[in-house]
Order: sequence, then structure tokens, then C-alpha cells
Amino acid sequence: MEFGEQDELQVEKKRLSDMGNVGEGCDRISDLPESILHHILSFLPARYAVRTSILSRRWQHLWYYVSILDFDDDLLSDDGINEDLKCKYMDFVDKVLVLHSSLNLYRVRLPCGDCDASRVDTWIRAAINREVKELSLFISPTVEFTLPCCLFTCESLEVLTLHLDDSVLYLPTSIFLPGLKIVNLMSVIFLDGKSADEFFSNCPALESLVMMCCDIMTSGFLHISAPKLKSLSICGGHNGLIHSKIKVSTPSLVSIKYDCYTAQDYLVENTPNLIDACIKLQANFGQNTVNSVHGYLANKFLRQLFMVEVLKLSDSSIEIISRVHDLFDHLPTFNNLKRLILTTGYCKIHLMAVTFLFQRSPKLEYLQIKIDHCLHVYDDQERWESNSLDLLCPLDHLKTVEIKCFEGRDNELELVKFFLKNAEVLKQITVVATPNLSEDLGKQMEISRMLITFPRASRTTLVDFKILERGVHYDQASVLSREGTWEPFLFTRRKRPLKFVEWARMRMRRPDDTVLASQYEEDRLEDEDGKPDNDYLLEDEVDMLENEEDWFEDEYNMPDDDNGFLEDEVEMPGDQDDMPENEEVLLEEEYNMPDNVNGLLEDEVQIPGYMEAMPENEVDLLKNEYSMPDDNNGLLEMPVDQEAMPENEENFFFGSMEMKRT
Amino acid sequence: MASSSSSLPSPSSSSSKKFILRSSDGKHFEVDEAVALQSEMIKQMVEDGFGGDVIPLLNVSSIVLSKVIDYCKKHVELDFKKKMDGDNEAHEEIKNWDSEYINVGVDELYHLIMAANYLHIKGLLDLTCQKVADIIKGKQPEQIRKIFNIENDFTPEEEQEIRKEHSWAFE
Repeated sequence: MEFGEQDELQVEKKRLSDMGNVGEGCDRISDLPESILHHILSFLPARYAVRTSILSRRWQHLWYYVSILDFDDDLLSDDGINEDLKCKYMDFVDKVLVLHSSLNLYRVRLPCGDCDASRVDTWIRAAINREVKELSLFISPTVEFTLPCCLFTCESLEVLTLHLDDSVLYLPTSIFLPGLKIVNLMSVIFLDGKSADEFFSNCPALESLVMMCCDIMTSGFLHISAPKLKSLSICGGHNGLIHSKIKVSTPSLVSIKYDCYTAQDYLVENTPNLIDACIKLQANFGQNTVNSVHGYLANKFLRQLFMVEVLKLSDSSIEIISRVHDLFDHLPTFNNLKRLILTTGYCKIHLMAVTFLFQRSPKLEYLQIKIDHCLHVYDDQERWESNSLDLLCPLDHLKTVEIKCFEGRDNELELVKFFLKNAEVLKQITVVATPNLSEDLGKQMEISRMLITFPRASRTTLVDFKILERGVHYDQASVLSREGTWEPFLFTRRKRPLKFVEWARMRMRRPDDTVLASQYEEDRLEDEDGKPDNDYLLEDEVDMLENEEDWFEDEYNMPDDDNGFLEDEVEMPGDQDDMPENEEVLLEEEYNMPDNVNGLLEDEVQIPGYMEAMPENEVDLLKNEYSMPDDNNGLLEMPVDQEAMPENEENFFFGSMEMKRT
Repeated sequence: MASSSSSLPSPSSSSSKKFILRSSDGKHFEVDEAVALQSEMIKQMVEDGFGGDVIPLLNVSSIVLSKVIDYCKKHVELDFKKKMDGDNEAHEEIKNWDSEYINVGVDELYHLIMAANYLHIKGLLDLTCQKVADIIKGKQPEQIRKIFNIENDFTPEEEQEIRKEHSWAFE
């Protein structure tokens, strides 16, 4: 069961000895002070920490004094382990946690699975006796299981994470957890709303509560009241809370996140400090279970959040709130709202909800709209209509607009037009196109042309048009944008992270505008978990690189269309068969670019055919450049040779195409 | 060897107060205040009124000190960036930079740990200790001994006894 194969060791040794170490015959590590060795062991899972006891006498008892015990282990699989291993595991926890109980513990992470209840009980008591501050328990009881009473009166406990695998949390009559600040409950079932209330209200210091896939057995109010609670997150579940009513009464609450099916009722009261709300009502649209009842409930929920400054709404939330006949009357006025972040579908009913939201948000400064084309397929009549935007929306404060997943449809262009025309203090509008558009240079040009010709209420508004490049498929882009809006789901596997997001960016400005395109960072949310994708490595390219780890291959597809857009193709020597199978991304032409830490691309890839292929019109000049960002931080522009550009007093724009590594 | 006034467009440049650190082998390093104060030990010295001219660091050689200063500088810069650009981005950059930085041999790792411990630079101490833990993790005792040159002073019987006591740990 070891990862450490012999050759791996050789590599490690070679690597270390390359640096002039190892083999000097001198045991530096054992020379370190004990406190540091304890510190080192605290970074190891308990199994590996204890394993060091065999290294030498110096190490034999070091692990006794480690205050962080993480029993989670690669040997413990989700499907359980065989009886023999389980016995060994239980003996191990007994010895490490119970027998050597000399030192106070800081943090214990203890998967108990379906281990004997009596031993689990002993373990928890031992941790409590050792005054543990942060305790994580994963219990999957096969029979009814009651946590030891002392857990609920533990004074040292500050962080409690409880994963009960959909079993009932039986609470003792006496609960008082004076130091408990953070509670994370996963798959915990409360007997009834009252017992949940008793639990939370007896945590006077509670600041953060996450309830994930939790439920209560009986219908009724799930009452959450804790005087110091600042952050509340209610997420997930198959039916999670669908039969419950939710009552939140928390005077200190700052942030609420709700990512769950619509409950039976909402009562949010006494939350004067609420600033941030992230509402992702889920619905089972497929079975037509969403109706106006849900709509009214969702609107009721929103009305109780009227004081927020930041509001994020998912597409399904907008769908649900739209399911009422007199939506405008039901929406609250968000007098404090400064930032509104929406994901919205492509249909008329959504646009109505969105425009109502604008009207109800008089102080709005920042708006982000992600258009989700996948959500529903309506026929054309149901799509946005251009004129439905001609509503009176007070956009007096709107400074920044971002529209993502832009496909360049008429109604989307209308949306941009609407903002440009009506928002008087608008500083920047960023339009991020879907990757689909990267194929279609003609369409890109058309959109660019339209965008710069729209009348603007403010002369200084900067229009930034970006194209999500190939390498990110439409669906993935949609997934990305959803993930960007909503924080990644705890414990949920994320899709294979996308390795590259390539951006083609065209910037437009009028010559008389003083506002220069600034590096725009917001799109980082697409890049969150980017790592070089080894799948994309092509062996043949190694000679380009000094270090295998230091580069990754970057492919970049330009349309090879009738315009002869691309005359110079940079041929990839790599064998196409080596490429990972990916139905979504066809690699036809690739530009291979080394990436290194400072990685500016040394050679610009010139596209000579491009200029001639441009239509002659007011957009006179387009210059394309490829550049690599120098690091994760941002886009870097290659210098543009201004003199080479024809003079045009009216408009010019230059596009620089940039690739961005994620 | 003396580093750096011309360093990065430093966030602390407004204060632009400089400290001179003297390594155990007598070399001088001029650093910005914010960089020096990454060290809790120096911070304490300054608070106690020893920040005047040269701060002697008796336990840190110039080679190690310059590497430590690299760390502190970068983290001052990145902390600043974090404030400006938001967490996610800076976090990623810190992670990448750290993993590159800590890609060193055992000897250097040892010196960095000792320096971080002496200077009380928590971030660096965690980073270096984490690195040692990463090397240990997943390896068999014999492999760990080889990498760190740890001499096994147990008899085979004793070793057997330990294995038996915590059989889970040796699965």
C-alpha cells in the first residue's frame, strides 16, 4: 500500500543530491529542536506521524507530543474497509488518542465510519478530555447512535464538524457550548425544529454555521437563532428542507447563502446587519413541480433580504421568482443594493425579472449578468425582445457592467445598447463572449462594430469585448461561469478543471477617450483552479523546454476560413494521436507556447493575411498580436506599433489576442 | 550581497524606512521595514528599541539570510497584492511561488527551518516544516532514513516490537 516506490525514491534522492545534499552523511533533520519536529509531524496524517517512531530512538516518542491528529487516511475508503483493517484502525486510534493522553489537543479529525459505537464514544470522550479545540467527526452509524453528552458541554471546543451520513442527531437535554464559533453539519438529521433550535441557541459564541444536506424529520420550523451568528449557509440535499419552514433570527448575521430547494416558508427576521445574500433556489423544472406557490415563497424570501448590499441570484432562482403574475409588486426595493450578480436564462420571462430587479435597485453600482443559454430552450417568441428593455430603470449609480457568455444575439446586443444609452456614469462595460464565437471572425467583427457604434450616455465609457477562446467548450464555459458565481460546493467533486482559458480580447476606444483600457482582472474567477494539464503535454516538444514541469502546451485554434485569415500556421510536431481524447475540443492547428515563470512569449506570431482580409469600413485597422500573460495575474499587452496604424479620426480599434493560462 | 533598495515597487515604499540586518558572517543587508518586520523576532527587537542601526542576526549566515529575505520580500509584495486584487488570485500566486521557493535540498531546508524558527517567521516555518512532512509522507521508514541520513539505532527486535504495536501505521 505504499506510494513510495523504489524508483520514486531514486528520483527524489537524485533531485536532492543534485542540489548538493543527501549523502553527506549528516542527519540534519534529527538535529532539529523537538518543538520543530513536533511541528513537522503535525502536518502529517496520524498514520505517517506514528510511523516515524521507527526511524530511530530520537524519533520514537516524538509523535506523543503532536497536538494535531488527523486520522483520515487513504486506507479508509468510502466503501469501508475489511474487518481486519478496521480492527487495526480501531486499535490504532485507541492507542494514539486514548492511551497516550498526555497533551492537550488542538485539532482532531476522526473518521469513525461504522466502527463500534462504544469505541467511537471512547474516542470522542478522550478528545474532549484532552480539551480539543477543533473536532471533525465522520460517523456512519449502522445502528442508532448517540454522541456522548460531554461533547455538548465541552468548553474548549471552538470548531465542530459533524458528518452523520443521514442519521439522526440525538441531542442531550443539557447543551452548552460557550466557545463554539464554527459549526459545520453535513448530512445531519434533526429530530425536529425544536431540537435544532436548542442546539444553536445554546452556542452563544457561534459565528459561522454551515448546514449541508441537513434535514429535519418532522415538518415545521427549522429555527436558527444565535446571537453572534455572522455567516449562515444552507446547502444541498436531495430533498433537503423541502418540507420544512425556515426561520432565521440572528441579529449579527452578515452573510447568508441558500442553495437548496424552496422550503415551505421563510421567516428572516431581526437581521439588520445583513450585507451579502447568495440565493440559489433549486427547482425540479423537469417535473413541473415549480409553480406560483414556489414563486410567492421565493419572493417572500427575497423581500426579507431587502437590506442587502450584495445579491447573487442564480438562474433557477430567477426562474422561480418569475413564476408569479404580479412580480413587480412582489419584489422588494433593494435600497442598499450595490452589487448584483445574476445568472439568467435566455427567455423573456427572465428578462422581465431582471429588469424589475434593476428598477428595484436604485443604488446599483456593479452588475454582472451571465447568460445561460443551456438552461431552457424556448422558442423564439419567448426570447428577449428588444423593446422590453425600454422600462424606466434608474441606472444613476451604475459604474460597471459585465455580461458573460455573450453570443452576440440581437437581444443581447440590445442589452448592451441599453446600458450604454442609459447609464450615465458607466465607466466600463465588459462583454465576454462564449467560445463559440471564437470560431466566427466575421461575427466578432460585426459585434465589435456594433458595440462601438452604440450611442453612449457617457463619453468615457470603456467597452471591453473579450472572446473566450477555444479550449473551453461552451458547456464548460457555462459550468465555469456557474462555478464562478457560486463558491465551489464543499465536498463535491469539481469537474476536471480546465487548464486553459484562452482569451482573445478586442478593445475598443474612441481616440478622444482618455480612459485607457486597464488590465481587467475580474475574469480570474474562471481561472480558479487552473493547473497545467498534463494531458496536453506532447512529448515531442520537450526540446523546447528546459524543465518538464515548467511548461505546458497551449493550443490555440484559429479559424481557417475563406478569408485566408491564417496564412502562417505554426505546425505542431506533436503526434495528434498523443492528444487526449476530448470530444469537445478538436485540435486542428495548434500554437505551442512554452510557459515559464516570467514567460513572455518571445516570438510574436504574425498573421499577415489578416489585415488584407479586413473589410474596409470605419473600423479601419485591426492588429492582432499574440502574447502570453507573464504570470497568473493578468493580461499583458504586447506593444502595439502605433505608427504602423493608419490614421483615422473617427474610430480605430486594435485587438490584441492574448492567451491566458489558467 | 547587500540587497535591495531598488527592489520591487514596494507597497511599503511610502514609509521607505530601512533596516540593516547583519548576518552571522558579517554581511549587511538593507531591507524595507515591512520586509524586516515579517520576522516577529526583529519586530520584538524594534519594539524594545533595538531597531536603531544594524540588527545583528547571530544565527543566520548570509547565504541563508538572503534566501529568507527573498521570502519576506515576496510575501510583503503578495500580501499587498492580496489586499488590492482579492484573495483568490493572490492565494494562487502565493502557492505557486512558495512551492517553487521551497524546492530545495535537505541541507538548505534545515538551514531555512532554523532561520525561520530563530527569526520567528511563522509562514516560512510552516512552509519548511510542511515540506519535510511532504517528503516523509507516504514513504517507508527505510526510504525516509536514506533521504535524511537518519541512522537506525534500533535492534531488529525493537523494530519489530514497534511495528507490532502500531500495525495500522505500517500497513
